[in-house]
Amino acid sequence: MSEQERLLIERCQSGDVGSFEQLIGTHQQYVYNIAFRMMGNEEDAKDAAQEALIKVFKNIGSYRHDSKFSTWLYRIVMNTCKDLLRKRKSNVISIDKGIATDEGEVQMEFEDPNASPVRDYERKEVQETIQEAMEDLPEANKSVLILREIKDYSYDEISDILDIPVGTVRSRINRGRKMLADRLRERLPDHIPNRNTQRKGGERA
Amino acid sequence: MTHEKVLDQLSMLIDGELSAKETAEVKEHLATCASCREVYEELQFIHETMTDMPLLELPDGFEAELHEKLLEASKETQDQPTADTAQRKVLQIPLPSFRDVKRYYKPLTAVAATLLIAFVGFSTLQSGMFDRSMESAMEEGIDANMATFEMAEEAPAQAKMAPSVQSVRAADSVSVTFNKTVQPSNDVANYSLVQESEESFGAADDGATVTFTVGAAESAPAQPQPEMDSPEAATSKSADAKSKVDQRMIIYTANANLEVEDYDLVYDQLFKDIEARGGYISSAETQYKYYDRDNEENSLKQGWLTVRVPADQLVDFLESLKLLGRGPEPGIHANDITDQYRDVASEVANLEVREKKLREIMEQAEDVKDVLEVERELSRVRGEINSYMGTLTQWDRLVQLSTVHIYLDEVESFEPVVKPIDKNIFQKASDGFKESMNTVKRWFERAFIGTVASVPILIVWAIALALLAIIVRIVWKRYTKNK
Repeated sequence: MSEQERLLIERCQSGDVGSFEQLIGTHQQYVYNIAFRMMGNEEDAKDAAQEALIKVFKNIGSYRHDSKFSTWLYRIVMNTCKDLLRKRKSNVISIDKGIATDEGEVQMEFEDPNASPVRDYERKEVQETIQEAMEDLPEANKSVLILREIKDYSYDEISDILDIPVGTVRSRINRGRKMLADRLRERLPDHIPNRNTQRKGGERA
Repeated sequence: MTHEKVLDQLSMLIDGELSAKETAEVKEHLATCASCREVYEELQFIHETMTDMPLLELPDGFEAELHEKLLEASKETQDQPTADTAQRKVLQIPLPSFRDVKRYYKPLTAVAATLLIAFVGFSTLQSGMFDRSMESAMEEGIDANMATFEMAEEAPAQAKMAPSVQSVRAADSVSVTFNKTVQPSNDVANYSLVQESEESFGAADDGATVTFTVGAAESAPAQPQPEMDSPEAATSKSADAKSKVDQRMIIYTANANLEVEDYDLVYDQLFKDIEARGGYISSAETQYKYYDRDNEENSLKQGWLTVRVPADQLVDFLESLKLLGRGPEPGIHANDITDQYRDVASEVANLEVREKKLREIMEQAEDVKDVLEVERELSRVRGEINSYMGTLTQWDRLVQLSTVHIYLDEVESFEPVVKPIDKNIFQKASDGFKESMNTVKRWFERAFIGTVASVPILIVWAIALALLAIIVRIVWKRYTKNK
């Protein structure tokens, strides 16, 4: 941990808001994106991200430097999202409906200036399908996959953040990817390296 | 390799979590097995698509909204910081459930009975032995002799006082010196505040620090003057910081262990020496490591001091320590923060440029909404500048004043002396043994007498209870019969 980070944490612990904002500066976007993948729509993602960050601020006094600050931070983010998901499940009857209303917004956010319009569209479609399929994934598989694919954390780090054994991380990632692949094959049979088509690397030619 | 095992390891292969040997094995299998390869390609595709997904930008107003909420949260936690933790502590105490009571019914009864007998025994004891035991417990407390006291102006003098008085005196001096901060000019009060914040950075005890720094400010007029934290002063400070960037910023910390023959004398000299150099003592703690009640001259002390001396005097100071006592060469640790300092200083410079621009925009803004927007941004920038400047000031002070941790250990003499064993020691031990045997004997006697003496009362109670039980039984029988 850098000297700078240690100093900032110390000042946060005495209640300095400015230092805290500095401390979470680079993490904020990841926190928001993780929350987005967990919650499935932007409105909930914003609420979850803010709630998590405020929890971090309120509890920073109990942070003991025994794990990396980022590990501690993302653990709180994950737990907050899980809590909110649990609450939402008991309130909302249909999960699909929630996604449908947000689809328009999601589309606008995906952009890649380099790709051709057609490829661009196809890719967006695949990404959206995966995002939708993520919604139906069990929470356990979803959280490990998000940490792996968005934050690029190693299995060890994920096991630290979620406080589960590495073996569990392994099987959950593998199982989660398989479920997503199955779902994708159901909905967009043309877009996945399929059992019936010719295989050529990971990406389609 | 079986298909199943390979299928389990596919994600690990993709994520690079397999060892070189395992990777080779799985790849070999994939080269020959088409069905596993298909699954692998699928999973790889999912992985690539997901890592490819662009990160969403933070929504508009996210940071501003968070800022408001954080301010609210900070107010809440500052209003009742202890209540929360206290509550949590209370919740952690496991309450015994009814089942526990049931399970431990028998042992609990035994304990209760023992307590009852002990109570009867004790209550019949007159003044004699009970008082004695209290007395000896108190004496032991003094024997233990952990006479810790906080530094104040008259601390060296205090060291000679009886241990039990010291803590009281130390508490007195807190209130006295505290009052003094109010009376003199702002300089002193201000200075103590600056000191306090610096000390809290160094994680020292709050109460003690306040007391001492005030004392130091009064008796050491050579201390640097505190700077006012107005925007103008801050700007000049940042200019100052920029100029400092050219020189190296190094924080020195030193450790020294000293054996001394006369603790109080050395302590006094140290105190004067540090004062003369324009430094101060940030914490000091003295204990008796051996206390001789009969002859206080023979008592030995040890103490831990943390002192701050100007960096340019550090080497000289450590040299002078050697004259005060005996010990190994002091250790020095240097922490070079030049790079971090430079980063923060340039960050401040950037922010100041930004602030200036914002002020210009502010002057041109006409719309009320715009003004508010710019104002919010301005206060955010100002807040950031202030927090950076705080860091710089802390670093400045750490660089200016080096920290020295000193351990003073009083020894009877530097010359090794083999002392003859006190002949009285066996006599004393045998006296003590006899006394405690007598105490035990007395206790049993009294417990026996007490139990016998209270037999009549117990009998009366037993009869009363038996009668009550019989009556209840008769009433119960009639009641059930009638039914």
